[in-house]
Amino acid sequence: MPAQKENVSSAISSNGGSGISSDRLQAVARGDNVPAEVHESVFEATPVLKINAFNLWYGTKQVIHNISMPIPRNQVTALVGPSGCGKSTLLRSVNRMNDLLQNVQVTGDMQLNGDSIYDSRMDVIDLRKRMGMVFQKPNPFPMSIFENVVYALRIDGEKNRSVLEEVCEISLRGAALWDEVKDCLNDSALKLSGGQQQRLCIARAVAAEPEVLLLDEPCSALDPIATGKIEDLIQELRGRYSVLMVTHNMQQASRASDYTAFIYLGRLIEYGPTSDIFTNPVLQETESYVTGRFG
Amino acid sequence: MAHGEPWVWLMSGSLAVAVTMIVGLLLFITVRGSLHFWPRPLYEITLRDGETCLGEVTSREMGANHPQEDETFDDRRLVHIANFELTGTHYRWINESDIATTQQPRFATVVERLEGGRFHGFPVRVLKNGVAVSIGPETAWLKYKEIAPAIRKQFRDANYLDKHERGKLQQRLRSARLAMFNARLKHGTKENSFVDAAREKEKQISKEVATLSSHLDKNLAALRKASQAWSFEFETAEGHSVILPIEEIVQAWQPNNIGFFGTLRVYGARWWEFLSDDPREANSAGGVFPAICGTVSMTLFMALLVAPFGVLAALYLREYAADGPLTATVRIAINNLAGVPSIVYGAFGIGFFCYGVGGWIDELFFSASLLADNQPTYGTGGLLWASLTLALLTLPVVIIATEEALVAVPNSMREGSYACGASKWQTIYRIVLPRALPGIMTGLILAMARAAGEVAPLMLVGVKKVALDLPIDTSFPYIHPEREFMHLAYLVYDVGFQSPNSQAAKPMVFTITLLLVALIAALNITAIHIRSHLQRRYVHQHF
Repeated sequence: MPAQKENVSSAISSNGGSGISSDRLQAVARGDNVPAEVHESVFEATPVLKINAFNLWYGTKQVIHNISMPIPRNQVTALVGPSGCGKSTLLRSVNRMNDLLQNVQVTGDMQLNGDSIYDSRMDVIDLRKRMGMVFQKPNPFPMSIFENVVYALRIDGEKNRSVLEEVCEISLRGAALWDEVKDCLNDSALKLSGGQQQRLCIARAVAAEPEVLLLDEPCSALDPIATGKIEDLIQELRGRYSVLMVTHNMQQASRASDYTAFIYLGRLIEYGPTSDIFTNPVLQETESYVTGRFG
Repeated sequence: MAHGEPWVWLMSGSLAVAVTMIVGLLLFITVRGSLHFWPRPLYEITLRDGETCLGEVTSREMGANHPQEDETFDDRRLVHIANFELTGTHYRWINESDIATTQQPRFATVVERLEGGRFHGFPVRVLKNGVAVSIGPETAWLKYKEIAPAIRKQFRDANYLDKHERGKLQQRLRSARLAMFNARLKHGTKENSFVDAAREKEKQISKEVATLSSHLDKNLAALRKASQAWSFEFETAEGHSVILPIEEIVQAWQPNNIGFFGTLRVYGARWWEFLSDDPREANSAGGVFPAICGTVSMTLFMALLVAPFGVLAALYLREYAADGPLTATVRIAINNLAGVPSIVYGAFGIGFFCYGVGGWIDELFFSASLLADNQPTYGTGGLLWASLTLALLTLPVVIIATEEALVAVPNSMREGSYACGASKWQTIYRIVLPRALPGIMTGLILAMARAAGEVAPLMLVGVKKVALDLPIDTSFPYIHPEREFMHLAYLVYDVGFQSPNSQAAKPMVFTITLLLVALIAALNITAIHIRSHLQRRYVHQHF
């Protein structure tokens, strides 16, 4: 690990030579506690999810350091940062997918609409039912398109055909997939193209009316056209769903999100409205990252 | 070297050797097996000392090629001369130097009899109740052709009636007897009204059965009389006259007189007899239908038993059991189980299943029949115990294959399911198992192939040399898992190595082997077809 730190700091200092301020990033790389720059306007919106002093360790390695941030309701919030900075881990902590891994320890808490996520009384299965999640690679289930969409209802024991059909249509329309698959709902979902599969996964995630929609780099395995369709879809979801997404693509973050958080080596650096982050960030470090001069 | 060409050669060479050996073996079996039923010409061979014989030439041997130098042989040929009751042998070596003349007489006839092996001779006349109806080789043969099907049908009908009707009567008698023993078991051996009633009933039924039985005898006698009236007189090459009852002629043909299509017809008829009939003459002739039935039902039964067992065990091992020294030990033990000699499974099967579980079932549910006949029902070898033993034998294969299939299910699918709020069991049941199904099928295919070809444990747990009562038949309750059965692989052993008439049995071994290989191939192709269907449905991803 020390070697890794050295690499990062040397990379930063070489950047620093070209006149870009990276004091905070160097401090983070050294392991210092650096206060997050959170814009006031973030606190004005009503939050759907609150992350409070959250820390996470894989074994002895700490990958999330004391992150606190509110996620505004019915808005799109993007998490950006270099690879391995812990943004996916943070996202997977929200619906406690990290419980499936061994050797994970957390402190701090998150609150979904006021309910403590890491409370010992919280049933993790109920918790996951209140959220929808879309993964990097499309992961349709080996069953028909219809059954994929209504999966969450099926496992709840819903058998009423008309209810299922209604939910299926609404969700597929919501995921802008209905027109393409309405005539082949009973075909295997595995026969769809990659972009269609990812929209199917979004339809599956919204079918159970989630309180938060978690998108983990939803376009990273897709071609540009499919990516454009998913981005359009995220625009449409804004206002109806609270979306928390992880992305590597700065253009995508600037186009598709309302709020952006910059995370570096497990620490929140700056968090604010997307327009401010991209055009007028408080920190020089953020500017150099989002403009692609670093990272 | 850097491109690895020598390795490519080595690899392709190894593959070529393997393919050559497999194809060669299959080809050898196919050719030898399929030629057995092809009617070959009959030669009338006259020797220099005046002896004559009529037979098929089965093989030739060159004296010079014989390895043992101190014994000198002339060139010689092996002739299937048949007519065992006259010649005392089925086959005979004839030295080429002893032969005076060889010819193919037009009316030379091969007769397959129910008993006594083949007969070779020339038709003389057809008799009805000892009176000649048609005389002369050609007219007699035509007359035989005309009447034979009807006579054979009468004969078969009579046999069927004898077997089934009499079987039913005996069944009635037996159930009455069992009812009496049951009453005795239930209400004590001391005289009481229940036992008396059952005994009365039994007496009454046995009286009824006796009347019905004599009726049946009368009907049978009438039927038999009609078919027994006909017989066929032949003359052998040496001039002996032999009279054969027509009802006992399974098939007859004149190989020198039928042309290509006639030969083809005889060939088809003999194959049909082989596939559809019961065995005769200590399994060295006739059909193998009971063995086909036994092999198929045993294999399918085994698959039904091993699939749930193996899949559940693998699921627990892979999905629920925590990784640790214990799990590793269990896994190694399972792998080692695959290397235990199969006869050990047979010994375990007879000790545990037949005598242990079977004896216990007999005591609990069949105590009356144990008392009545002094015969076990489940407490001896049978289809159920053989299937269970082989299920145990193939369990490691299924467990290992299922584990592999479970590991191959992409983690992203499980995560997707968990993210939807599914529990572990829901994820396994709805996502993991369907996706792993093709891999599980692969394990099952391997298990079935192994079970269908296994012999050693079966000899201990239920396979019999002759068992004409099929494990699945038309009498209630239709499936009889307690019955002993015949098996093709065992038949190969029995016919090949236990037969008194080894020359006649040898080609039969190839034919049975061919059939067994074809049967396993058919089972596998069906399973592979199902698997590819599942694969299309659950695995293939199109981008």
